[in-house]
Amino acid sequence: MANFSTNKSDGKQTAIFKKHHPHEVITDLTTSKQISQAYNESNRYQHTAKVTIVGHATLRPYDPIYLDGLPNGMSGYWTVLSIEHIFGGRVAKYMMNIEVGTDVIGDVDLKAKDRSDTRDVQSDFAGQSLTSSPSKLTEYSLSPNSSPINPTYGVTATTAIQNLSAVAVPKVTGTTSFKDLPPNISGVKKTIQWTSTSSGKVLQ
Amino acid sequence: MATDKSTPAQKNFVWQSNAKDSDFTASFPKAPDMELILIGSELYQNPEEHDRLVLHYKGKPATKKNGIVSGDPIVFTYRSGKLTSTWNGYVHHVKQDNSWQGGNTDIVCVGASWVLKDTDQKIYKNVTADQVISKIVKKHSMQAVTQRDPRVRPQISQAGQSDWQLCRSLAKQTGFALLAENTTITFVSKNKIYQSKKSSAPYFKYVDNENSSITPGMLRMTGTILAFEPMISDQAPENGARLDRVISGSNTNTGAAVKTTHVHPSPTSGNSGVVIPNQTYFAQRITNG
Repeated sequence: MANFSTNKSDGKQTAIFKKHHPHEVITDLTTSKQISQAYNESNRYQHTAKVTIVGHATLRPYDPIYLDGLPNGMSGYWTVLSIEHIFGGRVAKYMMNIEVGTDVIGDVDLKAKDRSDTRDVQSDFAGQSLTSSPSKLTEYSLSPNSSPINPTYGVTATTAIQNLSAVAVPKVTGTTSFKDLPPNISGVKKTIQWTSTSSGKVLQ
Repeated sequence: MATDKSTPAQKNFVWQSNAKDSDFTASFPKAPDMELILIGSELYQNPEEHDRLVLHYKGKPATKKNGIVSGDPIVFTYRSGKLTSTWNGYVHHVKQDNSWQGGNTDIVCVGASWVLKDTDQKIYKNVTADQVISKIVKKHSMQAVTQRDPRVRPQISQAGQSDWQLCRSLAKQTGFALLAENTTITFVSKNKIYQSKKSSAPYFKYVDNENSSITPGMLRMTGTILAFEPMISDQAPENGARLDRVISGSNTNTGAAVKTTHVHPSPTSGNSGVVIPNQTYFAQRITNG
């Protein structure tokens, strides 16, 4: 295999890789294996598809779903890669445009139709559920947003009109008939925050 | 104002679906007197991205009402059948278009993980990627669901990047899934999610016309998959490829042109219309006869 050390003295390059952009340098075998495995993981799902399905409120990215009845032997388990929930549409009140992917097409399970999709029993028993904890809203009273929509707009200066006679066109002073005062929110610290109701957990 | 009204046009056209019974509501804790009717919305959930929600309201709020401005909290609840989800986030910006059709109000929101946009300068030493994620998430009073990454790194630097940028960088380096839902940041391997949820994966069915190549919309709507569009790549010649594949290039050592052809195997033509009995048939005829 050619490399930079075999470049000719006349400047002619024989290297296959003309440029290198190393992210990090590895000096031991174990770490290099871990990195190569991680690189493999980050480049998965060579088979992808765009699917429109009826709404399913609890579906999230990287969740497996079972698509049945697809042509060309593509039925089976797929992994959801991205989701667009659409509410209030014409075809269905709630439907989803999703992108799915898989490494192997045809992972068929004849009993998939009969499985429950409302409970993760194994995770419940093992105490390793991936279900997120609920959130609560903490502290928003100091926000400048507690004021009405026009907080300091209340002063709308009336135009000074000078009537010279009963029939003359009124003379308007200034270049604009109204003026607005923008709200002064300088120095106000925003403190709105959602907070999780439980601490973190580590799955083995 | 929380709205679950639907017009006749919004009734589900899908026949066999628990999504017939679905609704969606949005409420603003700082503006409970929001009175506009929510006519539609879209919620985008992508890996390694903050959730985005777009709400479409009919009309404009009156000036006497409490204002809704950037940074206000929002609670969005949506349901399909017995499944309900609650989405928490912040108002990002409010858009009011003036057109000949009248003015409507669009409210664009971003998920509660938005606070991770804060930048920082910090050096983590002798840590794994999941430990860094946990520390960042804890700093923002959120919950982290993590899985141990086997690789202990001597140093991970955050030089002015936002917390979210660092999380995304670690996700790409480890190949882990990075998800932000409400106040929970999930950083686990993709296989962990897949295997733990595979036994309860939701089921969807695509209805095709077996007797014709054309499937009318009315028939398609009897299933729960309304459209399916595979993205066939050159890496999957066995799915949909109908032509010979020609791959060409140049040998970097010799400079010679390289060309190879992968011939598409055409399906074998059967002898339709002619019935050829097998040996068993003749044996039975002889026995019976």
